[in-house]
Amino acid sequence: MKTAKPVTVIVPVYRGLAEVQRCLRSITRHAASSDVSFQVLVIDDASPEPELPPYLDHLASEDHRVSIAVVHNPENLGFVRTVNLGMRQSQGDVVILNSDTIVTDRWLDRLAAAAADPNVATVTPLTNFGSICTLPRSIIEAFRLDGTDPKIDECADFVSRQSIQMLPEVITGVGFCMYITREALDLCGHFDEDTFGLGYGEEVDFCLRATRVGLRHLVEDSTFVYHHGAASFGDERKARLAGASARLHERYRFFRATNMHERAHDPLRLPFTALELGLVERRADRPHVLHLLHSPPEEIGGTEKHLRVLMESLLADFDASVLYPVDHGFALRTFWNLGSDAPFEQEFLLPGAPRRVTQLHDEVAGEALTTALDMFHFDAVHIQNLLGHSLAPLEVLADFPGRVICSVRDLYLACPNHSLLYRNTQPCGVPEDLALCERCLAETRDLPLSYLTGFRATAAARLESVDRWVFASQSAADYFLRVYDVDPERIEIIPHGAVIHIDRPGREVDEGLISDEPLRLAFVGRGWAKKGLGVANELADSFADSSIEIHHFGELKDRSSPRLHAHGRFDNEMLPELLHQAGIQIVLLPGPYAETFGHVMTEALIAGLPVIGASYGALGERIRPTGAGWTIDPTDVAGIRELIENLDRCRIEVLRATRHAIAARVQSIGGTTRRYAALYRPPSLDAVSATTADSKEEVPV
Amino acid sequence: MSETEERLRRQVRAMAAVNRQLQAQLEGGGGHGWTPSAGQGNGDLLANTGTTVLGSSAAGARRAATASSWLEQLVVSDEGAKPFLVQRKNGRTYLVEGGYRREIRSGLVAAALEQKLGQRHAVKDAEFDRWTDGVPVEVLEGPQGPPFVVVGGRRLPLRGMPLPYPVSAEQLQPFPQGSELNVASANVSRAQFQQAMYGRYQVDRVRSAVARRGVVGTAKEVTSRAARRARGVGGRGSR
Repeated sequence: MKTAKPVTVIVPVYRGLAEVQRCLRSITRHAASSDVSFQVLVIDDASPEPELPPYLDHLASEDHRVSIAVVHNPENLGFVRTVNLGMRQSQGDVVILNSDTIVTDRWLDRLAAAAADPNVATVTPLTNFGSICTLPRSIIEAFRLDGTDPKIDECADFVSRQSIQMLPEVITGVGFCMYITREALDLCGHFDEDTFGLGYGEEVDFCLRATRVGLRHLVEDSTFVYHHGAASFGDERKARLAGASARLHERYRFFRATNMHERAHDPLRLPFTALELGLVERRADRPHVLHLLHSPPEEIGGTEKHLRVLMESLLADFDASVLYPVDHGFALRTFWNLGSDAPFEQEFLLPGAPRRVTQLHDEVAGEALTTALDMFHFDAVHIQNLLGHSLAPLEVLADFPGRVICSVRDLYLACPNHSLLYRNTQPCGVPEDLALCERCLAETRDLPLSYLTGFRATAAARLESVDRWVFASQSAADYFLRVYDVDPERIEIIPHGAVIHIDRPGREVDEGLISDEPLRLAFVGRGWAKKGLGVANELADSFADSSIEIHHFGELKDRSSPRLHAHGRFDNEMLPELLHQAGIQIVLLPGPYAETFGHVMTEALIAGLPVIGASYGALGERIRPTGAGWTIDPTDVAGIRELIENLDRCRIEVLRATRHAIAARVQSIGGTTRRYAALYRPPSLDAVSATTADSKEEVPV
Repeated sequence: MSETEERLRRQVRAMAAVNRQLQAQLEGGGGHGWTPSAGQGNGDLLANTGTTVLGSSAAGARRAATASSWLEQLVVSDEGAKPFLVQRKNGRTYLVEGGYRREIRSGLVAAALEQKLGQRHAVKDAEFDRWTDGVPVEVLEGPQGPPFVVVGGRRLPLRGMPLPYPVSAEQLQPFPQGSELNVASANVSRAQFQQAMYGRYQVDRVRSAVARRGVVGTAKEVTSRAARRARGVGGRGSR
């Protein structure tokens, strides 16, 4: 403390016995835990309530841990003159405390500690009714501070625990409970009782005078003092406020503009936000998983849908948060179970620069992940997609103590041209001859070969950061292993669950449709070369004179044949019904791209339709063991045409494959959750059985 | 974790939450999920100045940072050459004042300014390059009063300008994205409109003259009027 002289707590009293009693009792109650030497000076300003003076005298006569002195004004002087009277009797720092307040544990210690900072004139605590120091509405409601039974001590404890202790500076303190340093009193004198004698505005005037001599005004943002509010002057309050405002404006022309600026920039916004965040704290005993995603979780893509369902399915056991790039940096979205019906979602924008993510290493992405890991405790990190994050997260996660899981959804880590199509046409299969890659990358990505080798070398050096690599198919893992040397023990194959509902009624063999109607094939997906639009166009043209029909469901990106029956964009959830309505018997997936899983094939199986797909990649891997279709070489259009013509002639083969498609087992995303839960769970919790279960883990459709 | 570390962790969270909130305000949206509430009490002395707390009005806060940087440049003296409008070959319209060319991106605003500043003059590239790029002429909105544009250092209030009402992302969900409706391109310049109307008016006059005087009489009248205009004596063509 600046002075060894005791702090004088001045409590002017006029009326409101019950409130005065509560106020003074709170002071004596918390005096025991205070290390600050202080005395209480209660000044009875000629109270009209006959019970008040005797109560004060009785209080002063009792033994307390703090000295209480009572002064009776022979006539009513008004609040300001009464305070000045108290100030004149004090020798050290003072606290002006309204009689309708209730102080809390260690209130004076904290105010005095803040006042000990250099050049401080006043310190004001937080309250439920006190101008700029008023707590946010959510906290007032949470602790019922507006009600008849306010949780004052609980609120004070909460504020002291959750405060970030910023001690924000404000242009003026607030008079309900204002700590004033002796330095300020010596330099500025007392309240201006001639101008503000009726109350209101006197503390603002005092503070502005203190500011003029170079002193500061702080808010002690870890201290809460309850203020009943507006009891002092009752109905006259409004008129007195207006009068004080006009007098202040006359004296300090800059004040309104300065006040407006302070309100707009709110120096307490950060401390208040920290307190509000404290109201929605995560339960520390629940495991917490951080997902890295390439786009906001509400986007429509398959990965986003998959993640959303995964987080919902695991919500009973795991809290989750998602880190993803946005235009102005990176955002962190919570997905926590706080006990209510819906998960608690809250978004943070992490400090950073506008996104300029390079594919190799982006500093901002690395810093964003580091910040996210600093902000909350995480037990596991699941990389859903590194697009937009670069390889920087792999470096950051090298020191992460929890588990790191990386789902390989595309082969971006193997090649920037992750469709693995040589010159965007032929499947390359990740060639060993890098001369092919040199030609391809120059044409498709305008990149030199050195970029690819540098990228792979950087990734290879950071592979150890990942504890488990998750692939949706063995073929995707095989492609990855052609480039990187990963311990097979660290590889998990978890087929994707369906992103649409799998338990649909009415999936049965329609023999009439298969045997008697023209053969109709549906090319499903985005209409462009990568997905095989060229093949579909050629087939549609070549079947112009036959009864075979080629339909397309999806957005057309390139020119299509007029013979192609285009149905346009669709909602995945509706695809099975749309295919049935169009009388489709077979789904055709002629793209040369080596699928890492093939969500459309899953949707075809849910519709009970067999599939024609590439012999390599995940489609071949899935078609062969189920018998739910036929594999092709997407570059051999003549061969595909011959297959379709044979199927047209031999409908019993179509019938056979349809039965296999209906019998094929399809997983929901929820069905995969137990495997993910096992990956996320810290080793210490491995023995604990997960409550997560999904009765519809795998459904024959 | 030490108390200090835990406090710093809370501070970073609060900063990130405030960042997101400010960003949401700039974007005119409500952010995601939780919204921090302003902490100021009602009816206190310090709030009696008629101010608007930042965040209580999403419209007022929208793009506030951008507008602030513009306003610094727009504080210019009202003296000097009168602002005027020019149009480039590519159709873009600019307000020229104090040596700056300020693009007017909204056709509605350009048309409204024509009423006050006169028609747009076509300018060649060489002339256009003499002026420096200034801040665009955009619609601003204060805590009170109608929206306005700043021209010649003065606020010109706008009347009849449709302004958006902020809605949340959740409220948007039921309405799928449709094709763009470009208000600026739909608007026709007031000057173009007058020219179009003037041309039709002339045709109508010629038709009635022919009906009254016959073709020869009308031709003589039109020829003599054109000759007067060429000599710069009276008539609509004189400048």
